[in-house]
Amino acid sequence: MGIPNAYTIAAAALLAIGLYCLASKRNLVKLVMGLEIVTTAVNLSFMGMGMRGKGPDPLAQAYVAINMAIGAVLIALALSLLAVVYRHYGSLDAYKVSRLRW
Amino acid sequence: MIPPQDLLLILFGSAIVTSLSDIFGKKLGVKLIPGYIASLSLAVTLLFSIGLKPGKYSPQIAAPIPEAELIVDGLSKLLVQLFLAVAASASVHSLSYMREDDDLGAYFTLLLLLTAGVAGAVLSNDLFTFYCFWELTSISAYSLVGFRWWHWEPAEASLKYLFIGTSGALVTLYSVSLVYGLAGTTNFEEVKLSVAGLRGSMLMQVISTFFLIGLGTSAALVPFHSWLPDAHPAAPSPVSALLSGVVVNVPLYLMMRLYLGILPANLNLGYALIAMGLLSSIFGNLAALRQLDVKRFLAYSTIANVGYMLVGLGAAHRALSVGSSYQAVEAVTGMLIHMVNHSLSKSLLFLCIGNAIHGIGSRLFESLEGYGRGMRLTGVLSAIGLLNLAGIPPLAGYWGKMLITVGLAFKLQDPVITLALLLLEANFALAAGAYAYFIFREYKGLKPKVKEAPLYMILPELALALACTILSLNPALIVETVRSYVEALLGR
Repeated sequence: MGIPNAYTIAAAALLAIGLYCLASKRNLVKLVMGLEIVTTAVNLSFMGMGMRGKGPDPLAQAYVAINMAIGAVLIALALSLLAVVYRHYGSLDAYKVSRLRW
Repeated sequence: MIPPQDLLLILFGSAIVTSLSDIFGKKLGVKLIPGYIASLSLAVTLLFSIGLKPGKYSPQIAAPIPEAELIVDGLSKLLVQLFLAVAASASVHSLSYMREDDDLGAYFTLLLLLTAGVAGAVLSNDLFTFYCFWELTSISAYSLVGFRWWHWEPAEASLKYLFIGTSGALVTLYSVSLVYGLAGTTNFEEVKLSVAGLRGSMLMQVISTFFLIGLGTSAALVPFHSWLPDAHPAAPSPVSALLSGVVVNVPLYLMMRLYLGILPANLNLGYALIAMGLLSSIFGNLAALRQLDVKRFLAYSTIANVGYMLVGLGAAHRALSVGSSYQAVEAVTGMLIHMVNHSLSKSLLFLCIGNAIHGIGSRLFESLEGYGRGMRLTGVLSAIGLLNLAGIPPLAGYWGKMLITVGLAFKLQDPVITLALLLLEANFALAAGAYAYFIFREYKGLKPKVKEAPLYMILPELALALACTILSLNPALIVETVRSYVEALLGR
């Protein structure tokens, strides 16, 4: 099974970009964007892994559809928590939202 | 004899009923109706789970779908029963603890969804199914930690938990996608067959490492632990009991399945697991000593205990990779017994501390000092939990730690292992000292003005303490049972 194809390599690169974003950004909205990038990377990776022989594997398509739904729920929850946190702190800077030791 | 999908159906159905019942409860003026329904259905599910029929269950459309398979064997049945018991206790405790809060329909629905996610994750026989149920658990857990969002602390802790937990879960899912690329499926048995020949290959090491990072984040192992000590104090006490007693154990269960049955054994990975476990236990025990907040103390002790379990897993992986399956069986048995003990006694402790916090209204050690004098029964029950965790020989907590040590202690000419054994034993001693000091502080100082907790709080604690005591009085029961399950898993 040929794992390295254009899609999987792009997925690995996206994963690296998303994790870098999660590790280095200070703005909480950008952290949510980082989560979104990582979700997309994983979805792309599933699609790339499913590319064999004649077109995409229906199993991979099912996985990606389910994972998109889960990702949407997570982003919705994250954004609603961001709104609450903004009301408490008046800021979305991860360094200021750190009364607990982050 | 009921199949596992019916069990999950009961949990999901009662979650829907609970959320609807809130409307009627508000009209009738009985606020706790969702709580009664949730507790009742969890108790019923616990009863049903005794009759789970062993076997594999695949849904069928045209042909069976192995990627949505559920499995009932000794281990998954044991853990489902354990988690349901802890969840039922937490739910009954919440009837009193959360009485003053609003939105109890949402609270109990989330609690049921968390339990359904955990039960499904443990019963699943497939990586992607596990991930779906695990996300259900996680999303409910994030929401429950932030349930009192109008205070700053739960809001911030929940957001932090969400960022760290989701990153971990996504890293896990990325390695699931790598496994899928290798094997063309994610079913445990089929993956095992297709990766068996890849022992020691570069790609297998990458996959194992990604799994270790992702699942380690969910299980709060040390470099990735920072969500746990914030989430526990911010959450209501029954939710902390669920987090420590249930949620952190599920990724460890998947690690156990993966590293012992599915991915090929690798000596370096065994050492990495042992090192990470030791790091967690050392850090957890040392950081617990300097906490002023009782729940933070217990949270760091959870990190330490997860570390012991990981050391057991690492010892088993090392034993498998050098081909001595006797030690592997001992170490995994020890890990699972410690998981059962820790789950029961830590949730007991969080519930008892919840009584004291509810009565006194503070989480600081200083103000809680002497609560055992004011609340006699709560004091005795939390002492049972602490002694069980400390693992003084006749008590049940001892057996798990002993078996982990037995599984680690062979081929001692390796200096790394000798050092690891010494550090592990030092940690056990340090933790036992910390718990003894905790019991001392329970009875120290003036008697605070506080009455014994109400019935709904005491009842689940009595049940959990009873379970701890039965395990202590008859350890052979659980040791032999779990060992036979582990032998079946490792194919001996």
